[in-house]
Amino acid sequence: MRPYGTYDETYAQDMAVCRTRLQWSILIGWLILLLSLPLFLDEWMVNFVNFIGISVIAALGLNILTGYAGQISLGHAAFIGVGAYTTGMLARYLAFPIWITLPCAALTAGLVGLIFGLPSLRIKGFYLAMATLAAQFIIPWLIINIRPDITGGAHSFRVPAATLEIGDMALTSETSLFYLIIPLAALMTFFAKNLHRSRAGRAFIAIRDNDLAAEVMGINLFTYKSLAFFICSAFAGVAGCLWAYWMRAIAVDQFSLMESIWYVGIIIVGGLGSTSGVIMGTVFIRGLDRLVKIIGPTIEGAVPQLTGPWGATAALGPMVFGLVVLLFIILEPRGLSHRWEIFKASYRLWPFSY
Amino acid sequence: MKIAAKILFVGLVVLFLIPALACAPKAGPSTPPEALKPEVIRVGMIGDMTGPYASIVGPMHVAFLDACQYVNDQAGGIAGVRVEAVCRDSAGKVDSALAHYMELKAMKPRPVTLSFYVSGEAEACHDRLVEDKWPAMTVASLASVYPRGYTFGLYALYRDEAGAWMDWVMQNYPAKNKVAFLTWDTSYGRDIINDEMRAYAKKVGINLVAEELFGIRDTDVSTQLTRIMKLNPDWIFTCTAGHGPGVILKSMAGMGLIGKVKLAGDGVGFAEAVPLIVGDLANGCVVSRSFASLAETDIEGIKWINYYFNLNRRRPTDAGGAAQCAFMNVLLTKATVEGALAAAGGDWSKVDGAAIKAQFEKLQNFTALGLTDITYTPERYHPNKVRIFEIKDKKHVPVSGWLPCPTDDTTPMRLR
Repeated sequence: MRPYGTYDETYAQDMAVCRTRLQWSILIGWLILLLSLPLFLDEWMVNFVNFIGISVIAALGLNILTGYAGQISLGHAAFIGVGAYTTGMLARYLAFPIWITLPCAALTAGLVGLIFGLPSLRIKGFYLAMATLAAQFIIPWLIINIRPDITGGAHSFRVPAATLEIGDMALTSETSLFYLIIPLAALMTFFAKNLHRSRAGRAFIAIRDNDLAAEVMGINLFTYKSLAFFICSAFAGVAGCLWAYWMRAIAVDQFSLMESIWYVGIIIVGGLGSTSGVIMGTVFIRGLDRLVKIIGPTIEGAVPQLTGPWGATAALGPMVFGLVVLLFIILEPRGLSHRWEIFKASYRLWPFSY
Repeated sequence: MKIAAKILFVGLVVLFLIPALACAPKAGPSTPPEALKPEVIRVGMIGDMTGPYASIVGPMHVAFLDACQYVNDQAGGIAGVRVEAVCRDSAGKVDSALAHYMELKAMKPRPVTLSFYVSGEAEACHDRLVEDKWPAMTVASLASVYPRGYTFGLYALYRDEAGAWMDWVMQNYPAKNKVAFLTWDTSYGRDIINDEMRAYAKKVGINLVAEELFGIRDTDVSTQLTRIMKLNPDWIFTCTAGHGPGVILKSMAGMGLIGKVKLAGDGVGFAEAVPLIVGDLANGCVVSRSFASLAETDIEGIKWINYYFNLNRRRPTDAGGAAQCAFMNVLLTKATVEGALAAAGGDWSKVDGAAIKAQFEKLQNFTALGLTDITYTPERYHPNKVRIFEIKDKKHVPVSGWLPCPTDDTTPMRLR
């Protein structure tokens, strides 16, 4: 719904993401505010924003696969791992700068994701979830066992600081990484937002809604399902690349099944198929997790009866995550983005209602 | 120019200016030298208190607090300045550890030293510690943690503990030299499974018959034990923490293997928590480690650990971890900061990370109230002596004196 008097005169206007001057101003204002954050946040908060930025990129990829194309993946963290290890090896052994490692990580993760997505043509739903789950076991096994001399095996793999090859500039501080991660996150968000309005995006949505009908309409299921897996995993690869530079030491433990489930939870809470929902879901879930860690000891101190052998906080994080996902599925299956739409509609009509 | 284009232009200029401003180096406030003596000295700790390593790190956390209390109450603080513990729970997640690292780094005053109680976290922060010139200690004893930087180990490498234990076996039980490794499928557990360790076993005459892995959350290892027992070993050596040896012992008991094969393990994993978890099943197990046992009540450090444990009414389960490491940790900070201050002629302005690190490198036979025997060198940032203990009546009883570790043999070639 748009305010009274706002109308389109051309097709380009109709297709624009930002349709009014006000929307442009708000967007630029938000971007300025976002990029100014390091000026008034301490390093701990900038670190958290960086974490959210990386998570947003990864979740956007999963949202394209699950939210748009209706395919499920429980191996998303493993694909992030592929991107991270690709980056690590290229940066450490070949001293490649980030502008080379980033596309390589996206491409490698995309191709690996494509392989694990191939079964999607024959199976779907629960069975596809199981097939993608295989990635979560096979990829770490390969990293640990095939060439541990190259990958570091079970040990952490040190990643050199990101370099741009501009006067030996290395991105080591959280602030410098912020200006790498956040613009990329914004760019990927723009790409994801536009994707669902493209030919491929509409094909994804058609497949999600009814794959038989989509095929009858002439949509090549194999091509588009594979494309969805490729794009999803390429996003994961980019996230993995940034994760590697951010973390500086990567290990297979960092890309566990639990992480994959967190990403599924993020897009459910945000609202499947909504780009803004992904951002909201990421901020909400990651923020909640961080909040639980902060207030956990306080709860433990206030209610000692709740404590287990070594503290109530032991199960608080996963418990809250599970509870939130459960509540959203029951009470608001369309996620935070739907709540936001309802709020906007109410705000425009306030104080009058239908 | 249209208004929209003007807005866009101004917006873009601002967008490019902000990063330049944010990344510009900030000048620190100048402080007069007389105001530099701190009112409090913080010591930081980041560890997995509620995740997979909680059974070990949880008790270490409370012991860390007790150690700070000991230093304040009994040892005059650090150069007369009160010590304050700043502890953060990573829940076993590296991203959380990194966030806590940033939080502690931003603190005013910043903790003088930092301690990591999980391998992955120590590895992840290794390079940052170097960049921030921040001395750190860790209970993670993987060789990969210590390429020279600012990270110091509190006890011998896991491989060294295994190597020294092999020496002890060959000295005391030369006929019982068949060993099987049964360890966690993690960087910690796998640290003993490598070519250097195999070569060392062969060199000293140990017949390494099997290498089996199990998951950190597995509750049964009977499949692995079945394969191992076909090879008829005399010993099973494990690198697992807290519940890990418990899982092995329970599976062994279920298969009737107690007494037929002996279980041995590394020090911090096979700590006092194991008898608490499995009771009498732990009796007879052998442990190789670099610090004293809680059963050695004649040692001054153990007396103080027990004193503060009782004073603060700690729970019985809190006695299960290597409280000794936490005390060693705080006492090392005290020794190195006081050493740095003395070297600077009492000028607090010169007591920075680099000065404290230099003191670490000079430490010779540091005993930490009799708890350990640590010597660091500029080339070696971890202790290289262990003692062998046998669990008798659910207590770790020493059965050897200090044994040298085969560091030169067990350290990976790429890290030598």
